[in-house]
Amino acid sequence: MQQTETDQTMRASAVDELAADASSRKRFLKALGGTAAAGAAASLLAACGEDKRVPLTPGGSNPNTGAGAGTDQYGNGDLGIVRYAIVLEYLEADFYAAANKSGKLKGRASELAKTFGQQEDQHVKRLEEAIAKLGGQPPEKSRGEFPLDTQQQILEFAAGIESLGAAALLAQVDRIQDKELLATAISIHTVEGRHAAAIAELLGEDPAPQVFATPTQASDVLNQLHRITTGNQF
Amino acid sequence: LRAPELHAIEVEGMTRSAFILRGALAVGAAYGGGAVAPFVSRAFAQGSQGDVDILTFALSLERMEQAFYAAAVKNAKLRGELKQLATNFGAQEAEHVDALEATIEQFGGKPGEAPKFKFGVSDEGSFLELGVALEDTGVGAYNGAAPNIDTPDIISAAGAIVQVEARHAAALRMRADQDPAPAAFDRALTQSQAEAAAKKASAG
Repeated sequence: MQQTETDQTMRASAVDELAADASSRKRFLKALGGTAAAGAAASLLAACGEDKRVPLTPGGSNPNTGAGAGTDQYGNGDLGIVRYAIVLEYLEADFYAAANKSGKLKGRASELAKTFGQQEDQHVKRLEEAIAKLGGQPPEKSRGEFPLDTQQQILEFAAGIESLGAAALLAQVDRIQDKELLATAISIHTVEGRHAAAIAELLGEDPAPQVFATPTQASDVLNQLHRITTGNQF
Repeated sequence: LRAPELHAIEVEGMTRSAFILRGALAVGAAYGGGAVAPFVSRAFAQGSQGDVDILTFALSLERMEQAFYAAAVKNAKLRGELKQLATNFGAQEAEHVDALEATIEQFGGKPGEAPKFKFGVSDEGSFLELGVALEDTGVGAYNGAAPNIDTPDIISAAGAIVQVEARHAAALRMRADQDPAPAAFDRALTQSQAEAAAKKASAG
């Protein structure tokens, strides 16, 4: 049985019992709505050797080759997570700047986009400070291609990128080691959730479509971001 | 950003959770939802008896929200789409309650009886006002408690729930013509400001 980082983290916690008992694991997942813990439990299963594939680290990398599909490509541990998180925040900040310049937004949509854009700028600033504190450098900014032809288009894109941003941070909260950083990440995450819900209200959609919000793992997030930065939408 | 309408909520009960919940509501009433996170964080940093302690507090919070939406649907004379929204949100809170009860039992704790709550909701206006204040308080409470949780899976679960609370808060704020995201971070005060706020709240 391979000792991965996940394995060790789990061992230190009350989740030990769950690893030994498949039925209690199922109950736990059911209790959590089958969503929040699914990723962690999948790593747990992999770490316990039920799967022949090489278990990836929580950062999405192959521990044998170092090939990374997740936050590990941005650095180890917390630094990798923050450098990964800021990629999304850069994109959100750029998007609102472009949306506000487009002249296509009217009324409340226009007011909200201005406020949300300023808030994304503050997220960027806070994460840049966190990166510096951890002794790192921010990653290079990638340019997004945003749909800006109509208000409807802009709002639909905003709803997508805010929900993605919230889901991406949610997937990282159980991996962050520094408690102050965790407090920052979870509170940025709820603000992204607020943005997503407000935009859903403007679009006449359900502001809270899930009982338990679903996390999106880094490799999936990065695939979606790649589509945005190459001019394709969600 | 203060939310004095939170004073209108009565939380009965002598459990530790009920005490912290009353404190959180008092802080929210005096200083707004952003002050709740550092208050709750401090409460658990000083005397946490582990994750079950935090889960039990989260349960009392969710039971309060569930009771609030039930009272609103019954007494606030809501109609149409807003009534549907309150019904949906209440059903989501009920599922949070169920999940937390099951998790507490799983980790060897006892969910205990729900405390009794009283709310002053008599019309659409008071529903929106109090709903915003309560959901903002919930967001602050979870965000404040999360760094005190040891078990990674429980941090994930708290995150999955608090995002839904934040969405509820934003939707109700939109309906009330308020800013859906009043701050860039759902955690407004520093630790020392929070301690001052808590002292003042418990003195008042």
